Amino acid sequence: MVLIGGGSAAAQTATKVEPAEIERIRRANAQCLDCHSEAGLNAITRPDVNKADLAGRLVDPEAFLKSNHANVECVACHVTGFKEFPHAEAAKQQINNCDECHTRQFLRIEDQFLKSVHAKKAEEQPGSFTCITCHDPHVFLKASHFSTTRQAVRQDNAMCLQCHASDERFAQLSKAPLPDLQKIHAWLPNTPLHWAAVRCVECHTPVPQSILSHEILPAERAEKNCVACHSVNSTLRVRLYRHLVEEERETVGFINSVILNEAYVIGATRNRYLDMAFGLVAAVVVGGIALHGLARFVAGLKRRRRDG
Amino acid sequence: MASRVYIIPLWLRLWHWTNAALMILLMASGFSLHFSDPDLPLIRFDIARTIHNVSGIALTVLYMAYLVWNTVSGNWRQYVPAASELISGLNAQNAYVASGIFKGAPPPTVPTPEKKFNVLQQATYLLVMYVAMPFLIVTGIAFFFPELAPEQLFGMDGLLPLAVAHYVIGFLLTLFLLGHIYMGTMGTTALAGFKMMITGWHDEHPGHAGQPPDRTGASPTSPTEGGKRA
Repeated sequence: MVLIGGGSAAAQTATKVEPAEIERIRRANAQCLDCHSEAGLNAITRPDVNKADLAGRLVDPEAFLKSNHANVECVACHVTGFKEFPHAEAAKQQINNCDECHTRQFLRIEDQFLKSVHAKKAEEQPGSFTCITCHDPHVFLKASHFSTTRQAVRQDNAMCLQCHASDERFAQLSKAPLPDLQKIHAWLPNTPLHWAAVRCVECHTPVPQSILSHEILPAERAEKNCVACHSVNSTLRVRLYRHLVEEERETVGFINSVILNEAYVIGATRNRYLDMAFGLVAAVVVGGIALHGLARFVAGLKRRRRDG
Repeated sequence: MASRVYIIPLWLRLWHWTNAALMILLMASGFSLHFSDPDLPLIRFDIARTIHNVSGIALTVLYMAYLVWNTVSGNWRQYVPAASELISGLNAQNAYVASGIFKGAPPPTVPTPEKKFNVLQQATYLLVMYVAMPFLIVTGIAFFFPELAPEQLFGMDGLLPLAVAHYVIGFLLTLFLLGHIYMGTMGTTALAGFKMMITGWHDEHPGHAGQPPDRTGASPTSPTEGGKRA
């Protein structure tokens, strides 16, 4: 059984796809990948193919098959004009927008996006900032689909770094010079560790009500309060670990252990049984000292009274 | 007649109180970091982190210096309990804590320049200074470089064993501190131990001057002997 988002309804409520249908989709997509892949490009002998142009239009079949869209036909988005070669001139203008399938998500995301720091760039240069600026549809996998959060963090942060670590790409969307990420994050202790363990959006989005917001916050509004994450009510529970926490709640109802499998977060991933045991031992020791001290005091009083 | 004996040299007292101050800073900041709560911050997280890191480095340096001082001065010998005294000494100490002290008995041993610690102190300090402290410092230093910890260890975050070990040892040393302060009140008078650690001089029991403690190092250790002196 496989769940896919192949069409409008499918993207909103995951639909089961029969193995035979998957097989058909994969065969259809293989025809496109015959040219639009590294191997395809190298194997092409037709003289009428502009190989330089094709080189910029390749898909990594392996990454695609792992992505959310693995079981979506190429032509579901690249709708018309691509079946024949050369492809129709106007075909590129007819690629489906993401909201064709992701309509319901758009209802929620749009408001968030419009408030985001990225929307301002989109206003300055209409059409410059779209879904695919961040989410490569041939690669993107939802964070919850990764087997470890570290993998999800790597993918999601790489999306931000496409522009925020590239002068060239940054300049396409912003007139400002590319800020030095190391410098502006110098306040954040163990920066490399934070970057490997959590996503940029953990701090650069408001705390979500349900799922992660698309309202990307500017630096001055980003989370800088350590205990937002480093506390027992860590907002990581509703961000990075949301999916894992939900799963765990159904089985054991103890959030810390699942986060512990993934990362040690000071203040957030304390083992409550160890804490309780230590609390008890500390109480016994303090109580014992207090009782002993009191008994000494009373014994001393008695002695003094007896000795006059 | 009460008499005074100079027992704790200046370097040892300076080390002791600097060590104590650093440990208290580390405990308070460590507690605050571990039980961090946005509604009840003992010390603000980022400040607690700085305190913990700076004090941790200072403690490491101080501990290295202590090891050198303790070795060069020969003071390390004070930490080694004599096998022959181990059981009898611990029994005497336990009997004092459990019973003698309530009857106003003097401590079974009093510090002398040759033998500053009783057997219970020797055993505890040996464990604390030569087992727990290195363990605390090593896990602390390792924790200092979390990026070098393996990403995963036994299916869990690689930092976890270090963090838990550091927490456990930190907790045990906190208990030690509580016990240490309280046991400090169990000298010849409730304040004698504290005075000695400040001035270096030990005032012997003002109330039992009849039999001065043996300063050859073989202090009376049995509760009966101690009882006689009361």
